[in-house]
Amino acid sequence: MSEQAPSGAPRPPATVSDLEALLFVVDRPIERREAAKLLEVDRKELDRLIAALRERLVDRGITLVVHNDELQLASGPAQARAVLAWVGTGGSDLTAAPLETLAIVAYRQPVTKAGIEEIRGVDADYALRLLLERGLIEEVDRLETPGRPHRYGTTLEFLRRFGLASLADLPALEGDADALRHLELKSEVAPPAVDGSLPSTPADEAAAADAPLDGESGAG
Amino acid sequence: MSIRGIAEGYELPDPAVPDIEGVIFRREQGGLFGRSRSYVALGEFSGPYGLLLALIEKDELDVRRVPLASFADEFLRYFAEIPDDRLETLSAFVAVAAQLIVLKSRALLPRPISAEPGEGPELDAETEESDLRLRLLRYRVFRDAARLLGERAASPLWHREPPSRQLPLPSPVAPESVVPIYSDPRRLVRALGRIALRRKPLAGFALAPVGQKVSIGERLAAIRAAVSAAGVVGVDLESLLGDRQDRSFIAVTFLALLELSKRREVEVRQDVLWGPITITGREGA
Repeated sequence: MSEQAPSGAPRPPATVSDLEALLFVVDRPIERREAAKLLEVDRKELDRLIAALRERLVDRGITLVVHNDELQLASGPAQARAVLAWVGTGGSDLTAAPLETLAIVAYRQPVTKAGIEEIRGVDADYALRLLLERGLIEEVDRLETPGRPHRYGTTLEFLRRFGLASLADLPALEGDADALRHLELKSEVAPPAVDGSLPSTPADEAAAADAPLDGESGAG
Repeated sequence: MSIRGIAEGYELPDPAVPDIEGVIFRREQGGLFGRSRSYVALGEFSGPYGLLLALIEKDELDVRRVPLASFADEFLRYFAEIPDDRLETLSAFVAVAAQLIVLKSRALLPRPISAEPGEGPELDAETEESDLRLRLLRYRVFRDAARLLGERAASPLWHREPPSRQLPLPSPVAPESVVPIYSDPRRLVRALGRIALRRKPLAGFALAPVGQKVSIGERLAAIRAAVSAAGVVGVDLESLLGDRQDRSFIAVTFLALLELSKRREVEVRQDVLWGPITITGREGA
């Protein structure tokens, strides 16, 4: 049995097992900053520990869920049935409209309500409210265009509910993935008066929206 | 199952049959003679692109090439079946229906022979059609992604539950200080008088106002007013209830508060377990 080092003696550097134990005990999502402080490691070392823990948890019954700054241990997607017996309820009861809205937010985040409506061709008020209520999406920031509309992104709860360890695990888009890549939402493009670099704006916008996905897949 | 048949009012074996993905056919029982009516329930299931795409795909046609104008009639037939209780959704269908009608009418009109190819109204029609086609293709990407996501929802990741069973109990309410028996008899009389006042006669219950109703709308307005008056400090639930003790008033106030919270108009906070519940207005609400 390992014991807490007495104060004064230098604490050995934190290991992957330390991170695993910490995440096992904490019963809520923990922020990277908080975890780094508790383990007395810097951000870079924590990232290394996270990557190592993920690797270690492959083929295990538990998985490490990473969402932006938050970390949490959860049961693996293949264990859903086994755990369901204890939890009692599961699955999604979302109908097509909220699911489509959620898909748009997940793949295009951050995205505005107008952007979602442009893609779906129909009012997204109800679907957005429902998703916000369920804690599957959240307001992340505001778009610097007239009216400063909210932009929405997915939450850690979304990852868990849909069996994803991170955004990089989102199912690959079939067929017309190019249509998504070159997506230019008229409703989200800043007018030329606000931003002088108009020609590059839509591309930047699309690139910025794709960045989290690319970044995640690069890291994972 | 024939789609045309449904549109003409044939009955379906099940109340809701997902025949075309995203478009659900519903049957409604009602009316004087309990007659059933079938309709395409599109209200909150899908948008106009979803319907148009479903119509194209049921014939196994390629969205990239098929002339969209040919679906104008069928689209309008479904459009007529949409329940008219969701105006904001209807307007979206109207917009696409109008586009399809324009495309169809242009296709029917004779083209001027003298016009240069790629010029004039022909160009407009092509641009409009390709614009609509692009929107359909773009929508399809996300619709398909939504289906994949929906499948994934069958295997969620569960996390450790917070130990709710270990929540601390509320601290006991301090009992009223007992009046010592050697107290001044006049104090005892006054105390007894207070107790007698507090105790309501049984007959009083029968006289309680029966018709006094409190509506959620009233409480919504009252909470909104109190919250905006309180500003950033917020107002606590106790003061919203005032000295009203009747259950219906408390329940309706609580329901109204839940509704405001659901609509994200207010933020409800309770810092300590069993502590005061503070309500503040949300920014931009």
